Amino acid sequence: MSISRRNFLKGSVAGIGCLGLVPVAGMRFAGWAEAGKQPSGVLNYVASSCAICTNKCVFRGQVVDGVIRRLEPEPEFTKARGMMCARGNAGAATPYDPDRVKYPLIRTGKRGEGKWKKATWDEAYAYIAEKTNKVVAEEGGHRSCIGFVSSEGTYHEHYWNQFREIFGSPNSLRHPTLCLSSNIRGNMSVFGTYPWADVKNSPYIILAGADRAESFFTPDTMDMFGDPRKTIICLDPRFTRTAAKATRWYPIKPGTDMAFALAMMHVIIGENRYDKEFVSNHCVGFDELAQHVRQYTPRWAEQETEIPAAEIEKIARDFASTPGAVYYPGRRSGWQGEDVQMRRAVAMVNAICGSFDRPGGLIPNASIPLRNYFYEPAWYDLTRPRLEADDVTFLNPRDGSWIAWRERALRADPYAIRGLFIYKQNVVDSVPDRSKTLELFDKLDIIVSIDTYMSDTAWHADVVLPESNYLERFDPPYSLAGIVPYVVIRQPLIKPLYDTKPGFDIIKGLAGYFADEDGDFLNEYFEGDVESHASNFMADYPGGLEMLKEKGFFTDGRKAEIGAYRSGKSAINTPSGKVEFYSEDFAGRGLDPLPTYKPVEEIPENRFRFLVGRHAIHTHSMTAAFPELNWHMPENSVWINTRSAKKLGIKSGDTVQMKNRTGGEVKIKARVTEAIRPDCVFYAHGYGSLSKAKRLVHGKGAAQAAILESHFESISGNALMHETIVEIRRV
Amino acid sequence: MAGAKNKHWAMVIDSAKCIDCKACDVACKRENGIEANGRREVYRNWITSKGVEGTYPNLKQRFEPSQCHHCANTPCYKVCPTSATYKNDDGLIMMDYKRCIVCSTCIAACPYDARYVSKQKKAIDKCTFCAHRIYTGKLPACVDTCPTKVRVFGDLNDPESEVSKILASRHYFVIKPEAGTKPNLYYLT
Repeated sequence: MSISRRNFLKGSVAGIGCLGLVPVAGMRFAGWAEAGKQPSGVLNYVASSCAICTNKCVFRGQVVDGVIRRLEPEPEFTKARGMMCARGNAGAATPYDPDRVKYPLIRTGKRGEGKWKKATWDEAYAYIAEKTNKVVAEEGGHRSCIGFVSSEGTYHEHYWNQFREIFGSPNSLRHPTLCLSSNIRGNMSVFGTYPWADVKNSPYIILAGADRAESFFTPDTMDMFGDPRKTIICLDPRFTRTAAKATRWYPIKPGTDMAFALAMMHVIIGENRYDKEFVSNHCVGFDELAQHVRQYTPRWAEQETEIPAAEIEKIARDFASTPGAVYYPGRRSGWQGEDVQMRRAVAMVNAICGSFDRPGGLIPNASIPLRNYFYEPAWYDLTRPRLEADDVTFLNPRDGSWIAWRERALRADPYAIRGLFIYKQNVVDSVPDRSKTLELFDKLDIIVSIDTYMSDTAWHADVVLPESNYLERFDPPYSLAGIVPYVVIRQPLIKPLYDTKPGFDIIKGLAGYFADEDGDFLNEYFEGDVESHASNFMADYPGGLEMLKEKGFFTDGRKAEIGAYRSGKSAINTPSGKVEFYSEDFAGRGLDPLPTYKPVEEIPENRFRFLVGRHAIHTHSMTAAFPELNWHMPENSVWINTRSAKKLGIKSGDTVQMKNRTGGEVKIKARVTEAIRPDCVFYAHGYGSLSKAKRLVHGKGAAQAAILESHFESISGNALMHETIVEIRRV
Repeated sequence: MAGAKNKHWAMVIDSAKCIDCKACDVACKRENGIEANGRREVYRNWITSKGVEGTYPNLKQRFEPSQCHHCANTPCYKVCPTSATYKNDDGLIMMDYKRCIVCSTCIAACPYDARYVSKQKKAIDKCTFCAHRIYTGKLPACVDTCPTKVRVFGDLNDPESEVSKILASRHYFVIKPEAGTKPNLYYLT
């Protein structure tokens, strides 16, 4: 943003004569005129929580004369440390976006052609039901042929899961296997939980791949960078904003993080620097681990990681000798090959140093339990096991494994999928290898997308059901786990501007067009409304719902009890009840009981490893077309190291063609930079949109899903996002 | 004129905390109703960076947030031919948009490049330290929204204020001291 306005001066002054002709985009203030009355200018506040990423930060929404003005951070909501990021701020424009989905739509042209007819809700439901019931009948009545897809962490998602269950399909697909499943599984096997790091109290943090300065996570981002005294060791093939803020940055060779962690353990154990008290009292399998890591010397790790052995030794010693040091587990995993085992190795570095259940270390999350959402189950005789049930060792039946599932669905193995009901997840833009997702779409008879926006997925659907914007909705209380847990809620700042409905109403409405095997309509399984559920969820906390409505969040003062596992008050949820190095469970399943390093695939000459990553103005594919964010990056471009670009004759701004090994191909502008390893390339997510209703990013730059190859690991089912090798040439 | 004579508003900026996330930019535009419509010259605050410096793998990148310095010795105020630029009693530099004839002399006079032509207002526009907020006891939008709390805002006449305490205990500098503008933006070293 370092554009000099003086450079604009010439043009601006020349343009003053036509100032009066420039219309102001008046959407934001249109409400006054429409209401036909004088604006009062009175500022009202409504407490609610953000929906632009997973953090759910609480804000005080400014509303003036029925129009949203700004979303101010709620200073008392300490999980976000009283902040509202660029994306959260830009969310205030979303209800007024002229391109949002305003009423139910039924496709009239070809899929993806963008021809629609406006429909009533009943017409849309009836259309879906007719198509769906027809294909279910063709499949002999088994409803497993309809896949249910949802984004993770929406406040209405439990209603969606209920709908899937009473509809009778086991095929549930969610976000985690495109994100952190391997990380959860790796940590679960060691600690029996996926703990978070007590960043606030940690003076020394190893940040390997987690770009917290650009991929916000509350309160970690705020605590890491809000205190410049912390030592931050950054391992990342890219020079990210995190690298810029780090004490030291090492451009580690991708896929070799496990070598780094193993060598750290080699030093810490070999030099007798481990936490003997913690290891002997709370861990099992240490002797096997100690024996195992003897082979992994820093000198060896230097060859693998390209980080000097002396630096690895120093980091290992500093880590072991600094109270509260933590090797940050991060979130989005699924990078390469043995990702679960790599996460286990990282967990073990923390464990041998006792960086678990102590200030500054890994802390098992606490949560404020809400009353359950109860519903009657429905039973179907014909339901079949989910498609990829045998493909993944630890398959989470709610999450599925996206890539494994899609491979099966493409082969109709062991049965055909005939339709997809999709709640918010933008699968076209988020599942690697977009061409395969679209190939699957071609095989389907019915695709339903519930969304607020015309995402690339909605764009390819047969019916789009518009959910009300998060600033127009009342959403039930949501228990937000963390080291300090909260409950959050959403309240409408404004009435719905268009013919849209909240998730619950859409789900119940659609359910009313289907019957169970006894002929009872499925909407009868949904009792009450969101308001009544909200009261019930909070029934154990007198005054809790009132606090939610006043503040946007609720706390009963609960915190994670640091030390509860060490004292024996809480039990470690592993098979042995201890922190596990050697895993009998893994051994019994034919998996490596200890993390064993496997060398990464060498990248051929003039080929590059494609990396994915974040930018602080973007959440996945959702925000790139938000006008207030887009101007910071109107188009994405591929990062290529200066030396590599020179060899290929590529300059910044050149259009290049990238090809992967499975037919994926994109054209994108080059950004020649020092800020990436010479053997890697990267571009940001959310661009190159197929949907013409994402005007600012349609045809601008390239989509990650178009170049990512399909790879997954079979322990947790996570997609592997850094296994794509590309070639590049100037066009 | 608004503002209390006994106030001396100042902002202390700790650039070491800035992660270049753009929250201040979006919050400012929202709070002040600025419709940029994609125009890249429209902003009241900004983050300066020389980009990635050095040669791989020895790299660094710095970020320096900035905005109107609300100078005590005020170049833009002095050159304004129509008194569209005025000072509040507390020293805030403000704009009377109705008086502005967009002659742009102030843009040229400002050593910090803190002003721009607003087609929306048909006038020159700039940061007000969110005067409408601070006079009701709230913080400027760029201050409250910041994830890492780069900016601290307050009254230098109050020795108990956070800005006073920070400046009493930390080394700091101002930008372009040679311009003699006596700015009220202080940068921590």
